Amino acid sequence: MRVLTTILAMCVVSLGFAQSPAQAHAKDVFSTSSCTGCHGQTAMGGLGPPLAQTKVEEKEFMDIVRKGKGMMPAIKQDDISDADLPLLYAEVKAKPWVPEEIPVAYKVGQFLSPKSVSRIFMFAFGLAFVMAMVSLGKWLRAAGLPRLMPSLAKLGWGKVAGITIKSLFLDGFLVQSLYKHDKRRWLMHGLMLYGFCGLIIADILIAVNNPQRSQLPLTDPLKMLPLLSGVAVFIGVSYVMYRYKKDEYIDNGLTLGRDFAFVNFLVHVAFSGFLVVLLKRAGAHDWVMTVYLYHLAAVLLLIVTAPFTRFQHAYVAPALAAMTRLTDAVIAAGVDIGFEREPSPGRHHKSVAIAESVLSQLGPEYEGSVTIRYYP
Amino acid sequence: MARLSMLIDLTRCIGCDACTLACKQENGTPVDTFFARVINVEVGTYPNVKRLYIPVLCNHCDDAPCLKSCPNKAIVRRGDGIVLVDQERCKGTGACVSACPYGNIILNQAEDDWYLTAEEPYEKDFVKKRLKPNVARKCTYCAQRVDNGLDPACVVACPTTARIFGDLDDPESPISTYVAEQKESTGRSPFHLLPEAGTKPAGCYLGPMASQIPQTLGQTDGIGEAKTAEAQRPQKSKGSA
Repeated sequence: MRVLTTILAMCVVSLGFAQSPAQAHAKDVFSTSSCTGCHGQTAMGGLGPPLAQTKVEEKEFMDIVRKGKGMMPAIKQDDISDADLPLLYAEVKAKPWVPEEIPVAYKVGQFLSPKSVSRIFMFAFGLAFVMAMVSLGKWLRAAGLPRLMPSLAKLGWGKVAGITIKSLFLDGFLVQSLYKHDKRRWLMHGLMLYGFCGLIIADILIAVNNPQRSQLPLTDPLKMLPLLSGVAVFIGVSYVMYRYKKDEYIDNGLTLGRDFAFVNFLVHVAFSGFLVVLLKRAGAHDWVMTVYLYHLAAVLLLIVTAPFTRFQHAYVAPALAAMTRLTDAVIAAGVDIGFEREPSPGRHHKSVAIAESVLSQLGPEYEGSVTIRYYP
Repeated sequence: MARLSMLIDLTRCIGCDACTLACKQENGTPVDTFFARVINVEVGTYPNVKRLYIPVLCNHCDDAPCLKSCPNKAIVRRGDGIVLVDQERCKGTGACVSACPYGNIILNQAEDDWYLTAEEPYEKDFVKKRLKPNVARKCTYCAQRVDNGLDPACVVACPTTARIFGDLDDPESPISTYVAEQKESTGRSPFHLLPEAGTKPAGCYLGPMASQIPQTLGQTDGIGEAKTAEAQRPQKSKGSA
């Protein structure tokens, strides 16, 4: 994990240096603006295209600045005033065209249109979703869901849906078992869970309401939601990191590596997300885009590895808990084989599965219908 | 590194449920809670019927699904392979109950029904400390006994020595010698329950030798050796933990 972190950090650093080093230009609108972050100090490009000797008309230029284009955010008056815009255009237009200054980063930047980025994310998300469903299917099959189906049908699908939704909400989303036993841990878990949900909602809202990601005041709800959610995730994940040092239970002897991978990726996502905001506010424009790309890469990594890391518990545990509730309901309704209660819900069906498995391994003389006998 | 395991020889099991009772006695489990049980199986249709007893208990899987599904990290796998549910840490979410393909995790959401009164020292000082209410419970391979060099209660109680306990990694352990001996004398190899579940269980089984019984009545070639081997009781486990 430390190796991965180092490699990622090196990538960020190298991308940062791929841009032209800062040169002091007193009273120069361009070199003191956020433009340089992507277009380079000499306007020969960074992750964004070169602007020197631009062939774009002034009117269109101003339009792009104010409304944004592709990955470029819309720039508001607070950042570059209306009065400065013509100066900026003139400066850019007058910059010398020096092809050898076009950085390697531009080649990377060319691929980063909103379309290709969203395609990459859609593909990653789709892949992760399919993998998650495949693994969930395996879990539910091992839990004996196919054998339980006839009993569920007898219980009534409306009731089944009701119990499932109720359990997914109470056991999954509200994590009621943790709330009942340990409120402090519930809170810390909630910071991550609800913070994570807040970030996803914020991302969707931003995509709809502010697709060009123009700079918003900190008090804007679209800014508040992701920031507060991010803070929540960051506190939560920091606490978990602390627990990884202190809690003797963290190593359960089987899944430590996968568990830590998830927490570590989440730290990278949260930390780089905050770093982008901080760098932007601090005016370190040269670094914003590279750290933002690093943030995107961290999010991508988190998504594609989700079905194999500790993230799995986010859908496996609620689904299995819901199945336990369903099996309990089947027994309570008396639609199964007539037990009043079953100490381990679903045990009868699992016993049949065990018997069939043993008989199939014993040979042809043990073929035939299987009955499990219970004595009162 | 030890790998504790239990071998159950289905030829020897007579379905007496002594293991079930010994387990209840050792662990003091409440009503309806059985860590070790015996599945009574009838197979076929009359007149071609067979009865088979399959004693089952927690398999202490290498790739334990209960452990992987626990959102609270309350289930741990010790260095010797014993998988334990920590009673303090468990929050009673119930994911493990469904996750276990063998149905060997018990979670009673209602109030427990105990056999003895709570004031009994046995209940107060031994049982209740290890069986907390409304949390998941399961067989521990009698970890408290194993740690003291003893075999699990069900192993000791079995009147036919159908259960052999020991360290699979130690070629001299009772389980390893029994497996080797049975392979040579009866040609039987141990198998696992529900191998398709991919849990890599520690618990393993030897199938019944029903088809060989008529041979032992009429023939002598090569049978005497097998009988002798069968008659040998495995030596007492050294208990490694």
